[in-house]
Amino acid sequence: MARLNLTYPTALVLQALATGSHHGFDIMDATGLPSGTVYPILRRLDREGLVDSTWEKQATAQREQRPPRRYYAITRGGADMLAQAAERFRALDAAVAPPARRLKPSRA
Amino acid sequence: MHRPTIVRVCLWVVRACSAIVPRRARREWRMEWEGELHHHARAREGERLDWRRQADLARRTLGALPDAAWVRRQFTADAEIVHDAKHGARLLWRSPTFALSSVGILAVGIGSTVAVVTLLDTLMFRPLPYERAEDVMTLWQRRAALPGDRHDVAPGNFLDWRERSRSFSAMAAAVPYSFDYTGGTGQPRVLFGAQVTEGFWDAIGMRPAVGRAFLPDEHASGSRPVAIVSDRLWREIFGGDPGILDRALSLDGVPHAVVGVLPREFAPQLLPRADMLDVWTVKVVQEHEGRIRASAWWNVVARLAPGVSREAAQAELDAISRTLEQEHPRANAGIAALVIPLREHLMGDLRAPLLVTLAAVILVLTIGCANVASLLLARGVEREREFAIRAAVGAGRARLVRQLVTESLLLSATAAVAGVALARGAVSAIVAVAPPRVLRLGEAAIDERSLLVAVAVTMLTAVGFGVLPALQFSRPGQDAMRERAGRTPRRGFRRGLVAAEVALALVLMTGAGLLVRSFERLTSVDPGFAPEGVVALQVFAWDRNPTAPRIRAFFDVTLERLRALPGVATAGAVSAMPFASANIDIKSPLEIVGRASAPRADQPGTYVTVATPGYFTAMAIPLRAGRLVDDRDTERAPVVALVSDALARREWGTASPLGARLAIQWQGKRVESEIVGVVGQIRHDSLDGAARPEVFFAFAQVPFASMTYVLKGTGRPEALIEAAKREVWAVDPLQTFYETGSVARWVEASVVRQRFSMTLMSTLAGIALLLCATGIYGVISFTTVQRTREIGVRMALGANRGTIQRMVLREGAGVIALGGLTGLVAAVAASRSLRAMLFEIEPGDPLTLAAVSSLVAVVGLAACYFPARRATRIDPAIALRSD
Repeated sequence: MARLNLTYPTALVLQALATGSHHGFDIMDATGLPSGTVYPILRRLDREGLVDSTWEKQATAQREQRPPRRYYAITRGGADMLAQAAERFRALDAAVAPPARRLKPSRA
Repeated sequence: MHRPTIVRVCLWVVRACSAIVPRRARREWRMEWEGELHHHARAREGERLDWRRQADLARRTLGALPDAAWVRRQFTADAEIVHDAKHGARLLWRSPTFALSSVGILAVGIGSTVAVVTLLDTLMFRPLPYERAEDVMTLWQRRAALPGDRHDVAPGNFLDWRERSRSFSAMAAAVPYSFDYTGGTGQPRVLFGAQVTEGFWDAIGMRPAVGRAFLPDEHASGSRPVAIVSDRLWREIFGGDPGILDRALSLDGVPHAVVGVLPREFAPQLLPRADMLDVWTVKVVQEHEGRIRASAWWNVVARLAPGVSREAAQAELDAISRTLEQEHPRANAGIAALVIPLREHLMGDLRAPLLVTLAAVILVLTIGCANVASLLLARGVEREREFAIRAAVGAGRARLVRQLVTESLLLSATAAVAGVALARGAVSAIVAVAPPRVLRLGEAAIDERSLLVAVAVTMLTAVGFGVLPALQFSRPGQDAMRERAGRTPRRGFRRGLVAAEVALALVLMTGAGLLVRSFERLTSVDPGFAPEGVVALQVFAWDRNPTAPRIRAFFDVTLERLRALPGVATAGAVSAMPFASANIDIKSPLEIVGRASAPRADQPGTYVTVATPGYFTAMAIPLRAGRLVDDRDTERAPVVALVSDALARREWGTASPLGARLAIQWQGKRVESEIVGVVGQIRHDSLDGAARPEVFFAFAQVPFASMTYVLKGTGRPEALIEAAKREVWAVDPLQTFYETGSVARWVEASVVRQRFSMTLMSTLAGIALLLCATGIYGVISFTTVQRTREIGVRMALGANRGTIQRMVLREGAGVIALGGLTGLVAAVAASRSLRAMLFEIEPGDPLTLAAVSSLVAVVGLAACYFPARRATRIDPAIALRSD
């Protein structure tokens, strides 16, 4: 865990995962971060074991006639990390709303 | 399923970006992006994809590029290096003057080093096209008393060596031979070649590419004449026809069956005209040849027997030579054998000059590194803030050093690309000025081996110029952010670098100066004749002129026609033509009639030359005493001789030789003659060689058919030669010409090796001096800028421009003096390695040292002058506000 810098965008991504966004583009929507930021963060979190990633079932993808989507879920370690982040960035809760709402990130 | 254009464009962008992703992760990466894109486009299918949504999709897709780059970085061994390189590149881009000058300086250094290393590699390390080439030795004769002496081998000695030695598994000789070829269409021509004794192809380790080598019984006398031809002749005469075997090639009117074609790379550089040897035939050793020991013209090749070293072979031949000395005290006194590996032989005389050049390019590269290091140091001061901040936010020293070394690598890698391009040019330029007949130099080319050298040199230079400055600035906290006072330790360091540059440049300038002076002395040597406007045509006219009267008639008639040619002032003929590649050197013991002492064994021989009167006038050979040969000296008149003053001095000292009688062995007969004149001595082989002690006979009295026509005339040499050939063909249409050319050019060609060394060294010294001047200019400009405030204060306090200028110049002069003194000491020591390449000049020649030191000093001070003048323009008011 020491290798991961807990930056503000990382915390936003973790928060989005905790509040029910599980796909790359959805996390972008939830956090308002650009894709070029979101994906590297997801990959780093994945590498550090803070999120788990699985692939959508082939059947679902075939029904919708597209390649399978990648599904990200926060792990226990990720949740701990998020708790630490929440202390550091007090406004986190306000920044990431549940999937229905979209907000621009506001810096603490 | 129909996909909107925007989706297709986005999918295409993702696919393009996926090329960046390392192969291992590419499939998953692409699937993830495509899955999301498809899903995103579909989720909105009910609605129309309006421009807002299209823009959103496009924006998201653009993130694929940084994502792909990020993934790639995870796979590169050290992402920070990439970052360092990018940072470095940005900084270099922002200071193009610095970047361009450093890259230029380093490119010159790297380029010249790669070029010279490539040439040396070609000579010294590239595999030779002979079987187990390291076992192939060339054997030579040398006079034991003279170090560095090396001659062709006398037939008698070769036969004895071959019979008595056990160190070699094969030993064979090649004998120069040329054939008249009148078979093809066009003018009769000479084909140059060699006759080889049995086992030659085994000894040298080469098989014909087409056909076979000679069979043992083909070396027996009376066997069917066979020939092996060169690749060039095969293509020229036979059109490269593989069915050439057993076709007849008419040589000297005798049909020879062609049994083989040599590979193109066969170039053992044996015999005169080594590059023109087209026909190889068998040498049938004649019984009488075993007795020839005084004349040496055979080239010997031998293959070491398994397990025998070169030294052991040399020791055995030394022992044999001592025995031969006892057996033949007259001819073999002081004659020793010399074993030289074929590779060493192929390097010729170029190894020493190229090694000296290598030393010189390394010096240039070092100066270049010092220069760039100095530039980096100057820049470092400007970057102090950057380093201070980075150190303050936690960058360790190693991190900063790495940043700087990465930047240095970036510089030297860019320089290496330019340098390799430069090296290509340099290699062709060096090969172009190299002695034409030398060796395998023509094969030199920049290839992967050179590139490896370039990479190594690049790394070394990056470390060389980058590490010291890096260690200097990365010292945490030290100079950082502090007030900039006038004097910093760094300035001392830079001045040290520049002083070192001055010293190195002086060493190179001294070397170049010595070579230039040596060359001057060499070319001002009087060869003993005036070559300007003289052309020469060598003929061997024995075939159709077998008797003395026929020989006389042939040359009388042809010379008559040549003299009548328009533009020809005089024409003559001589047997031993100075500076011709097949100079005839007939030597004889000299007997002075009435003098008691027999010829001493250690006495060098006397050369016997036959000439017509026209030879002396055409070549403007000065008459020192008595008279020249002329029309009086006919067949029936008493035989007369001229002696060269070298011989006159040797035999008579200051007394006059006129009237003395000589006895000479000429074609097996004793010829007695009276000396009627003394002519100037002539140098025959090279300007730095000794003049020949020579006896001249009148052609009319001692007819000879291996002669060289000598024509003094006006007009282009080529035109004169062509006209002369036509006149000779008018008398004998089958006569061939062995060698033709302008005598002035032959003399010039004899110093091509010295010219080569001089040109290379002077070019490098010039580059070194230029780099050095740049270095001085840089360091003085920089310190002057640093002292702006100080200068302002001084001017405000009343110092005038002259004082300021002197102050800056004094600083430069100090650096130059320090470097100059060190350089002088180094130059005296280093120039000793040039001794072997110098002619009539000592390595520590004071005049040369004085001249180059003054030149370096003047150039150095000139480089200081501009910053000094700029310093005087400083406005005190502005200077005081500057900090």
